[in-house]
Amino acid sequence: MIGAAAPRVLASQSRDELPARLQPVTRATIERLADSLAHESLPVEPLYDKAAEGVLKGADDARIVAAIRGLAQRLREARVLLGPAATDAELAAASSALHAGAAPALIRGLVTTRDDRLPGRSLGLPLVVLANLIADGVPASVASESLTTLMVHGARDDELSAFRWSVARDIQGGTTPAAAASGVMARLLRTTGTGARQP
Amino acid sequence: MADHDLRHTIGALRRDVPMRPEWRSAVLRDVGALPFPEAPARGSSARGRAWAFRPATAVAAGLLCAVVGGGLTLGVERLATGQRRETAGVPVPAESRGTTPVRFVLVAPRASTVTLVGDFNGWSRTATPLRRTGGALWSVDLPLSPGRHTYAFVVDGVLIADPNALDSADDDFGVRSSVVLVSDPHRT
Repeated sequence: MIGAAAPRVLASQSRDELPARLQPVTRATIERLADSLAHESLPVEPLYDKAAEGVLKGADDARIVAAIRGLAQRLREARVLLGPAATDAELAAASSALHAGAAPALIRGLVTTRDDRLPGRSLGLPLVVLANLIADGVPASVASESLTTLMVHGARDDELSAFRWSVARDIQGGTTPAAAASGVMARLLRTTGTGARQP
Repeated sequence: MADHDLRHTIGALRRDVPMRPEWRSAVLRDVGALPFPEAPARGSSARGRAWAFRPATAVAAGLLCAVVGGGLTLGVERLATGQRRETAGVPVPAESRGTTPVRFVLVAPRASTVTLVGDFNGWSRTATPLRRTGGALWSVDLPLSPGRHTYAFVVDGVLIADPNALDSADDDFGVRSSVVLVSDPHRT
């Protein structure tokens, strides 16, 4: 069974694999959007992936097109924020953070912190965690500040992920999202002996 | 029941059940004991190739990071159907061919079929079935290219996100998906 899946595993979606269910006009729209992104040196696979995802989840063509238009716009915005050296994963992660409600200025702040203090550090996972925290109800500014603080204090990707799970658990336990994020961060910083910083 | 008693009860029910160290060790041992995929026999219906994996201690270590780092048990989630499902997406180090095998695991004792859908297989409901191993455990190892991948499980026809994974947080269709990030094995 693993072997049977192999031919598709390494290849993300492409225009040749747009779901057959899509109407011709929808396919043409997606292809135009993809061509536009390609000319801007932006990844196009996410558009086709989004189309396939929408078909699987039962969305109609109009909803799929709307989603893809939004994704294309966010990828453009992500490129502006992250710069030309950003990886496709970082662009996609930034897109999801924007979709979740992160203001561009917050993402720019993470980029500045990375460039100034953590050169070479990927922002893929931090941006995913940012999106998740915001989706959990943590105010975007609190989420961003928490992640920045943890990153500056040397937190690895798995630790940032653990931070998000701890925050989610505290929220489930009745703590407000903002207090949960601040509280977990303070606990982590105390544990590392670096001292707590006020968000 | 008085309101304060009800709130106390609800609060107690919502608290995570702490996992004792010996339970965690037992789970890690079981996950680590999952058999490596074997090359398909000649003439079998399966196609493709087998991949080599480094020792399963790396799998166990990855799961430990996922579990300990998550501060949870195995992310137990009680669903409307009454099933308890626990999942983890654990990067499995392997000989590099530009991809990294990732083991997707789901505990679904009452499921008849479990498949994996995501951007790596065109969100196909049938391309990537999970294999039942050890009774309640379902798993599949999949080589993924470096980058961000969104996925979900289809359990007896029902699409569910991985409760132990981060959300993709960009759902446009009303059904959550999960995300896994695969690092580039060639980058430091």
